[in-house]
Amino acid sequence: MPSTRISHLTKEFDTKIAVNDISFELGEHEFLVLVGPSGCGKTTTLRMLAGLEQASSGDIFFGEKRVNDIRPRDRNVAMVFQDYAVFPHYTVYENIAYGLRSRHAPNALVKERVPKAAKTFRIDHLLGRKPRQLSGGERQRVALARAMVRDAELYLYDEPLANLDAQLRYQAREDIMALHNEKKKPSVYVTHDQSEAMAMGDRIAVMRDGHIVQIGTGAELYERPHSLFVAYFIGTPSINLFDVDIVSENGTLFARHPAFSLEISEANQSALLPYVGRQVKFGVRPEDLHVPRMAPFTVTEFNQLLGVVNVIEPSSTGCAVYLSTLDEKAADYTATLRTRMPASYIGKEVPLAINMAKALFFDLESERSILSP
Amino acid sequence: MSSVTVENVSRQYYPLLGSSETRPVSGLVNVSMKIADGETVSVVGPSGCGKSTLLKVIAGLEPADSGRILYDKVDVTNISPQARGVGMVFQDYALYPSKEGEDNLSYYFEVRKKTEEEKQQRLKEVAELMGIGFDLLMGRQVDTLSGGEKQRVGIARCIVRDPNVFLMDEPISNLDAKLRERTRTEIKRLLKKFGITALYVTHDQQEAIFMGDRIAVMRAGQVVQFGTFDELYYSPVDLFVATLIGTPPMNVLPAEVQGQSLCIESVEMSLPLPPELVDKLPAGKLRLGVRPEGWLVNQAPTGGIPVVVTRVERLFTERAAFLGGQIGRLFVNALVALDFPAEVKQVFLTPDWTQAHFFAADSETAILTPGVPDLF
Amino acid sequence: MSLFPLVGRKQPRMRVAWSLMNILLWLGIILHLIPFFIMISTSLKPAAEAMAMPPTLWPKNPTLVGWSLIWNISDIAKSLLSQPLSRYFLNSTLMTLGTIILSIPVTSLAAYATSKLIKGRATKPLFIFFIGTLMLPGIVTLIPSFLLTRNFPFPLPVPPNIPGTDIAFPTLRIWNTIWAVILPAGFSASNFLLFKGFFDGIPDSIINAARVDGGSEFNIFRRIIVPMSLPVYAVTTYFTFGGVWDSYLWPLVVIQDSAIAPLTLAIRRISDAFSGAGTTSTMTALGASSAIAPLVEQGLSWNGLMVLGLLQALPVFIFFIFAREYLLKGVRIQGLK
Repeated sequence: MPSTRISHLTKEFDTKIAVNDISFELGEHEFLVLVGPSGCGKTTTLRMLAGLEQASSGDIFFGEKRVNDIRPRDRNVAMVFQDYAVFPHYTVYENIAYGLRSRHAPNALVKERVPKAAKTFRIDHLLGRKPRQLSGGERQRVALARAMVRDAELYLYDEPLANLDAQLRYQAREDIMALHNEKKKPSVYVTHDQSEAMAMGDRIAVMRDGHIVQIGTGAELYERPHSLFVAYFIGTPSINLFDVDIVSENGTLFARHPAFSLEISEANQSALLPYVGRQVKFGVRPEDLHVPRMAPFTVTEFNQLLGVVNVIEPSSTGCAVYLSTLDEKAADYTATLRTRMPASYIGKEVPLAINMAKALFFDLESERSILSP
Repeated sequence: MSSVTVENVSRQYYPLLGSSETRPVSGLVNVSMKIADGETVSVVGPSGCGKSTLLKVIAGLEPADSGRILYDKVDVTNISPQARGVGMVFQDYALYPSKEGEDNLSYYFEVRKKTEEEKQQRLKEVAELMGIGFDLLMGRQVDTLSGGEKQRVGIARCIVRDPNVFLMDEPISNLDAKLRERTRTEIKRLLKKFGITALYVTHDQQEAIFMGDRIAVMRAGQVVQFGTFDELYYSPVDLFVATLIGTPPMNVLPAEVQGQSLCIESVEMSLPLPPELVDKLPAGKLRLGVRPEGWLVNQAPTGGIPVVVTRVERLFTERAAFLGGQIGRLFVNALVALDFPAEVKQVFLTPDWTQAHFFAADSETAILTPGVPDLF
Repeated sequence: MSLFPLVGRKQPRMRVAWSLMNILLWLGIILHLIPFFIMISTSLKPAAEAMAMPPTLWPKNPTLVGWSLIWNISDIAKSLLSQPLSRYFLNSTLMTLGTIILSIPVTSLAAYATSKLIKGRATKPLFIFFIGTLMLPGIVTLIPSFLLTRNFPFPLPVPPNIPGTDIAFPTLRIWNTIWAVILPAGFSASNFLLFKGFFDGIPDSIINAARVDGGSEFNIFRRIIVPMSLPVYAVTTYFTFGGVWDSYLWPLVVIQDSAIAPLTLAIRRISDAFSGAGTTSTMTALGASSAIAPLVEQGLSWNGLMVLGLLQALPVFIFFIFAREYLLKGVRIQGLK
């Protein structure tokens, strides 16, 4: 039985439709992430779930109960906000206790729960402080503790990590997952950062212009995107995209670009047959570019791409190399390698081998995937 | 373009009259740094570490209480910001809001009383440098530009003046993730193309690594370490630098050297130390630092530290996964293969001793760091 | 301070500018303090010396005669002021406190509603209506307002009869009571603007967080919003305080009974009595005007006026000192109106 379900939910503001006919279901203990660029309607969806915004049409069900017209204070949801929304004049203790007190919980319960929640998020030594004496990370943990003390039916997160320093985000992610695992309740998490979505979500719903364009596990979205938008949006560094012409030579299809000509893998030949003589978007993930000597496939003349190295960014797993093609337009592309490329290669021309079996193709007009429509 | 030398610069802030705090707050403590001609230096550190103050002192927007600032060999310590010829790019863009893109650029020519021809000539050059579509931005009202477009105008506004040095204060942190990725490549390319001497301030270490030829790590008004990525990553001077550089951050475990072995405190477990390390490590308490890729991960108990797996984060672009788990109350991260099975609930971790870092327990300074690995 | 460039202050030109600025600022401070000095010194003079020409800088024979008027006022002086000075002080206090207690909650709730609760078409007309009251100069509404205090809601001296009967409409008559001062000040458009500006700056997420946490709307206002907004409450209370405490024209119009008059009216009465008799020097006071001479003999002249003036100035001053921290914070936030 789904614990939370929304169907055909729409929200219109005066001039525009923020959320347009979206539906999804949440499992008992599922962590769903809504991700998309700013203005895609993800936050509005979350606010409708919390009851902070009235839905224009469509239904929201918590279990069997339709909650569209129930006030936020009676919906029993807990929410964590981007700017933490801690009450500035209360001590940490009172901040955490507010949700219990405003529901007239007995004092004994407050005394039991507040220190426990504070301990979980390592703020038990700060209970007497005021929020302005706390760092951003600590305020964030106060907000999490405030959500933790209550037994809500549904946990909502509105970009809770966006204001944190990069190094604190890892710890905060663990904290959110700890809260989720402790409560074993469905959660909806909104973010614009796809890497956060990929790291945290059981399932991910990618939103754009008020629609859910694709919903699925991280691996599904990454490997079989339905559209160009999802392919570009998911993954950092982003997928490399080129406009190529599909041409047929002696019965074999090639993707042709001023800078290269690539042989399309056997598995994809038939799918691309209708596109011969037309232009399509060709996409290849940065990790599918290899140093030819280390490539896990046979390197030929027709799966190589020559480019000039602009920047080498070291990472803990190797490096990301930013290159541009040698033709006039100098299209940018990126490769992530498992070895560290020495800085002496900057400005040099290097060939990289492309794993054509992993290539993606998109229709230029509809922007739909040709391989997995 | 010129080189920039910062010599023993200090700066203190005095609290406002009437505020309850009366002691001065240190903005900068004896900071020295040399930026070569055409070099990009990233300054990274947590908020309040003095990185923005350093930028303002170099720009002349704030005075140095002591010490000197030199552009090439010219002492500019007492020269006003207007006369220093710096270009500054701000986090909030700081464009003149009521003007069009082009007027934002030409303000400089108005105050400097340049002729119309000079102005047109220079504007044309810059528009070409900035690349495709830039002339379209020039005619638009600033309010109608998106964040990324605003920052392009902001950068162009700097290039127009042909500054001695480029100073950037978190220029892309207001942009969303995808745009940030694109804009930083663009900035980096412009900097390299024109051999611009630049100081790039950010709180994001990843951005600092990307932008900087060298990186200065700051904390509490002091430069803790200044060097290339490799120096910072493989030979951090203390625990602060070690945990700041690298994502996910380095795992730090309190430990104690007991004879031939190392006792991990949170699980009360001893690991035998290789003989070459035994001589180099002092007996007693210290901190063991292991990068996520510095663990040997075993699913069978082979004498490693037992770790309860809380989650596996798959990074498709890196063709790897990070395993998150707990040793006692401490969170740890380890790098594993992308297809690491999700149902594994416990693993055993042993540090790869050739990649392990050791820090003093009290001062947190480095005792032993691996240094840049020798691959061949 | 910060307008002065931080770098390059050691240049000679900058040094000259710096000292000039300092001199000007000190001059300004001294000019502002001189009137207070004169008030204090005059209040300590005997009646005759207070009128001496040329005036003395410091009383030759300091006396507290002027200050004793606070509690006792002699029979002769009663022709001028019917009550001891403390009575007027009390009247002013009542009016001011009454206004604050009524106006601050009313105004802040209205501002909170327009800022955070009412979203939609009604917001703008409401806002314009509130602000519209700022547009009319007070002097224009003086007479209509006065008429309204006689028989509210009729702007007539005598209420009309209910049609078809001989019974007059029941009306609210507040003229010549302190309510005539308090009630019309119950809503202040300028304070409304200050409140709204501040509330607009409070992130919605804080209110939403409290809603999700189960707080009722009024509870949110009382327990979350008000404690956060103490600086702006301090500023508006200060403005209201100053406005009512120092008001003169309106009380003059609506208050006739000397027993309920505020300090400002009392001050005016003394000052009128003396300057109206053309008395700026002791000679004329004692010689020419027979009405004034007994007063001066009783010890009341400009010295009493100065005591009243100090009584008038003191509370505002004390209020400022107590609320200083909040006021400065509030002023910094608001950019002072």
